[in-house]
Formats: sequence, structure tokens, C-alpha cells
Amino acid sequence: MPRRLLTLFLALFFILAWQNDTRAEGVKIAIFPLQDLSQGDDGVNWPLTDQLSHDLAEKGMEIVSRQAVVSFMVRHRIRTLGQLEAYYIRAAKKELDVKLILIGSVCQKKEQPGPALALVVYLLRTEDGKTTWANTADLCCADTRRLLGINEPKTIEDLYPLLISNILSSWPTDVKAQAKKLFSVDLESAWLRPTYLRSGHDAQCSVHLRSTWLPQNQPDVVLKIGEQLVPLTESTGTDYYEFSWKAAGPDGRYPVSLVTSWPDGHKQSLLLGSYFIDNKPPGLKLRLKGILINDKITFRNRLSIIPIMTDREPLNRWQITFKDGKGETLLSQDGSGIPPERLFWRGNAANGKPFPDGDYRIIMKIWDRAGNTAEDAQWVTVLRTKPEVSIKATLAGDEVIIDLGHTGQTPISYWRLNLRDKDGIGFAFKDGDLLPTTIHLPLSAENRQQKIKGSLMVRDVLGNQSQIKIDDLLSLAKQEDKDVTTPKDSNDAWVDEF
Amino acid sequence: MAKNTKKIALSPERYRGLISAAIGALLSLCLVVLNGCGARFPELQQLAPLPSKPPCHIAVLPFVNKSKYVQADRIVYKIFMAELLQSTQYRVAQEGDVRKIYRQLKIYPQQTPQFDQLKIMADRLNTQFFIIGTILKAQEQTSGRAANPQLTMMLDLVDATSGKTLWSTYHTREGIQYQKVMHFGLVTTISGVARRMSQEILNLWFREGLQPCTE
Repeated sequence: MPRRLLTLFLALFFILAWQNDTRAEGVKIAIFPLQDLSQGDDGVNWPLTDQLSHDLAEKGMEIVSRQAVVSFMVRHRIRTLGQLEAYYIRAAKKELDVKLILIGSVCQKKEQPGPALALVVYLLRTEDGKTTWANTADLCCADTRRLLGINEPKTIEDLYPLLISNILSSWPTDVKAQAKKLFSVDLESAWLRPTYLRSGHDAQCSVHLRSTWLPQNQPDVVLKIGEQLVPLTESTGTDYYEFSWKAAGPDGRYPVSLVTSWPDGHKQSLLLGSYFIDNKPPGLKLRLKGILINDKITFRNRLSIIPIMTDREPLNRWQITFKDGKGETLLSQDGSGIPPERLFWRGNAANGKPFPDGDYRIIMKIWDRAGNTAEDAQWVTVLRTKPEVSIKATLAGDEVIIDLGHTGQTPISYWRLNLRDKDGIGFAFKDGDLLPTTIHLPLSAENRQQKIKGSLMVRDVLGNQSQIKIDDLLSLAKQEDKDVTTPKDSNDAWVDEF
Repeated sequence: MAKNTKKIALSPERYRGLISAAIGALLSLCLVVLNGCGARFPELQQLAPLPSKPPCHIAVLPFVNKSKYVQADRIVYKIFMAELLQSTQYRVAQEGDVRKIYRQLKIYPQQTPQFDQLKIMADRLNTQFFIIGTILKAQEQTSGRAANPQLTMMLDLVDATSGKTLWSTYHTREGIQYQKVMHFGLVTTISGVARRMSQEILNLWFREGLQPCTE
């Protein structure tokens, strides 16, 4: 009997001890509204939040009222649920006087094809902002089938208590654990500009800290630029620190850190960013794809301009300018980033009007991210003059000799002579790619009695084309000393093409 | 003439033994068949060795969603983070702090930070490792009264100081693969699949040498 009593006493003792441990009496916790991702980023699920509060209160936790939590969120303009910044965790400790914060998200909530719920919760310790416990649970009605279907959950709402019970099944018993006091500064914002610059140019840094310290514990704030330390002074009462300096030193990357020193000797360093000193200009070479005539790049209606980056690096912007022989700017175009791989110029002004024949200077300029520039220029000739050709015919016995001549500077790429009799039947067809040339055409008795008509087409290497109309070849031959040259009004009118 | 047949008499012990063997064989077969559906393991590529010192500070960066399932990145991110916190003593950076630095550095939600940005994040979050995740496929196919969620994700373990990807893990699963008998074990939500996949990935990582924090 005494042995049984002792066993009963011991069992009772252990049960009470266990209950005391798990109830974690006196621990104050703030339960933030649960985010409901099924309603989007801004969704909130109050029923599950209330169920969670209810179950945790039953576990002995001291729950901060919903109103206090909501007013804290409003005060700090916390708009996103399911997450908290370390700053707000510490602020909650101070303002709500809580040791723990519970945040969470309803990951899924769906009715079809069967009601299903999924929840994830995190327990945050306000002392150091650490997540000390987390759990996730998912449940659907099919998971909760019971024998004979008695009290089986049928709706989403029926799943709430079961889900919360599941998720709190591993609720930590040791929730009172104290954390090591951590020193930290809260960086609200920081910017460093510019990121790329040349030596001697101004760099600027602005830092906004959230003061979470008492006035007597104000830390010293120092900016570490490369290896150089610069003390920062706060703009009165604003928590803003600003500093600008002349960048100096060889090309390279310069990290900028914020170093805070606390009165007790503790130091903290935060990397704000880096800036790059770049004094090396980018490399540029302009290549023009035209025809080289008399050592000049010449074109008629289309010139390919290829900017070649000899030392590739990201660029800020580019500009291309067209100037005439007197140096007057006729056309200019620019863009951001690297220039296109290939540009085309038709020899026209911005309004589409063609420039007259002559020499033009094409200048391309580029700027890298630090503002270093590179420039290259090339001369180019626009030539739209039609080929100057002559035709001379001579009768010699049974044949007619035709001399085709060329007096222009631009080499010929193709010519074609097409002659027909009065009935339109082909008399002769000759072509070639060299001028001057002589053509011998046999002449029958019948041919001598009729007019031989035709045309001569000549095209130069630039694509300029001349067309000479021959009304009567034989009459031309009779006037031996007379040449037919390119008429002034010859045009690019369509003729029977090859 | 009667055929001379020999009848083998079974003793009760031998009979029981044969029955037990038959049941055992049947159960083994069931196990093989059922596990055959579920035996899908994450694929781990170890691109570089982990540092010898166990990490204590880890930051999980917002996942990138390349699937058509809205919120898949957020759901899997939160669940993976919870599983990571559950299975280790790592100090995992708060999601709020990570997203704040994303805003400060002007990194858009579906973007992966560049090398310089990773360095700044590593310093400000005081982290040794980044976990960068991409959801490649997420969908819930409904057939009859049950949904079959499918999830494919890639998780990279990145060294915060060098910005190098040390480990890359690819994992793909379907809810039906977890089914045991009848409806038991069947997973019908993306969240459920994400939870189990996260556990499988973390188990693999620990098995392959990721050490828990010892501080």
C-alpha cells in the first residue's frame, strides 16, 4: 500500500511539474494578425488569429490584446503581415513589453476539390530578434476521416481548431530563454553616389539611422572609405548623416562602410556599398563600309558605320555627328548605353533631303559610366553623279564598229548595249564590266536599209546609273565625228532589266 | 492398381512458419510497390566544398517564381524557412530585414541580386550563406475529388563572402507520390508538398555534410 501511494505521489508530482513547464506562466506574447496569402499579399485572417490566441492563452501564455497590437502596427506603419524587421521586433519589446512575438501566414485556404488549409508560424524573441521556433502544418478534410464519419470536419472553419492544435503540438516548453544582448544600428536607408567616377570628382554618401539608443548611449558614427576613416556628424535631431568627398586614388573599387562605436567599446561595421574610380577612357574605332575611290571612302545611298569597341566596357551614352567640309554640324544623333553594332546612313539630312555630293566628316563619341570619353572620326565622300559615257559608231565594210567610252572618275561595274531593228527584233545584245571597249557588229544589206534603235545602260561601282537612248545607229555612224554622250536629263527610269 | 503417392504431412510449427513467410513476402512486396511510387530524391550538385567551419548565420532570399501558380514563391519560401528553423539552430535572417535591403538596393522581387549586392547584403545581414530558390513548376491538377499538386524547385547554397554557388539542388515531386494505402499519405496541397520537399532537401544537405551551428 505505501508503495502504491509513493508511485501515485511521484506520478502526480511529475504531471504537475510538466504542466508548470509547458504553461510557461507569465510569458507575455504579442500575436500579430496572420497574413492570408490566399487573399493576396495584403490578406489578413482574423478567425485563425483568434483561434491561435485562444489556444495559446489556454497554454498559459499572456496574450497582448488585439487592439494594442493593431495600434502598434498603425503607429509604425507596418503594412505587410507575416514578416517583421528586426527594428520593429525591438520596438515591440519596448512598447508592448513582450518577450515573444508570433507571426505567421495562411499559405493556402481552398474549398475545392476538398477544404484544405496550410499555415506557417514563427516565434520571434524580442530580446535579440531571433526566430526561436517555427512550425508549419497543412490539413484537408480527407486527412481527418473518422470511423463512421462522426464529427468529421466538413468546412474550412471546422479545420481551424485542428490545424492550430497540430501547429502548436510542438510548442516549445522553454520559451523563457534569455538571449545575449546584441548591439546593432538600424539602417533605414543609405545611398552612395555616383557608383562610377573619375579621380577628383565628388562622391556623396547619405545615411539614415533609426535611433534605438538612449542619448547617453549615442554611438560614434564613422564612415570608412577604403582605408580612410571620416567621422560623421548628425544633422541636428534628424538621424541623417551626410558626407561628400573628392574621390582620389588609382583605378579600382573602394568599399564604403559605416562604423558605429558604442560607449562600452562595442563596434559594428555595415557595408553601405562601393564606388569605382575609373580614369581609363574607353577605346573606340570607327569603321566605314563604303567603296574606296582615290583613297576616300565613297558611297551613293547607303553607308555602313560600324563602331568597334577596342576595350569593351559598359557605356553610359554615345553620339554620332555628321559635319560638312567647313566643319558645320549637319546632323547629330545620340542614345544611351552602348551604340548599335551597325548604323546606316543614306546620305540624307534629318528631314530626308539628300546632301549634295562632297566630303563629310563622321564623328562618333562615347562616354563610359565614369564620364571618360573616346572619339573617332572618318571622312566620307557622297557621290551621286551619273557615269559619263560616250558612244561612237563607225561603218567599216560589212560591219559597224561601236566605241564605248567612259570619262568619269568612278570605275564602271556594268554596262549593257541592247539594239533592235525596226520590228523590235533583237539585233545585238552586248554587256560587260569594263570601259572603254570596242564592239564589232556585222551588218547585212537588209539592216543597212532600216533604223537600228536601242539603248546603252552604264552603272558605276557606287550604283549610279546612266541610260543613253540610240534612235538610229546607222545615222550615228554616218556622222563619224560625232559622239553621243550621256545626256544631261538621263535618269534612272526603268528599262527592260536583266 | 492404386498409384503409389507420398503425402507430406506438415507439422503445425512448419505450417505456421510457411504462413509467416508468405505474409512477410507479401508485406515486402507491398512495401516495394508503394515505395516505388514515392522514391524520388533531390538531385544535389556539389560545385565547391563547404567551408570547414559550420555556419550559424543564414539568409534565405526571396524565391523567384517561374511557374504560373500565383504566390508559389511566397508559399514555398515561408514553408522552407520554417522547416530550416525547425531542423537547425541557425540564426536565419528575418524575412522583413531581407526584403528591406531588397528595397534599399532596388532589387525587384523576381530578381536575383548581383555579386556586389550580395556582398552588401551579406555584410548588413551578417550572414555566411545565402539560400537562393527558384520555383520552376507549381500546379494543382484536379482529378475527381482530389487534387494532385506538382512542384519543381531549385535551391542554391551560395557562399556569402565569395558569392560562389557551392551546392545546387533540384527537386521535383507530386502529391500522389506520398500516397501509402488508400488515401493515407496523399498530399493535396502545394503547401503540403513544399513542406515534405523542404524536409527532404534539408535531410539531404545534412547527410551530405552541411553542419549544424555549434555556437
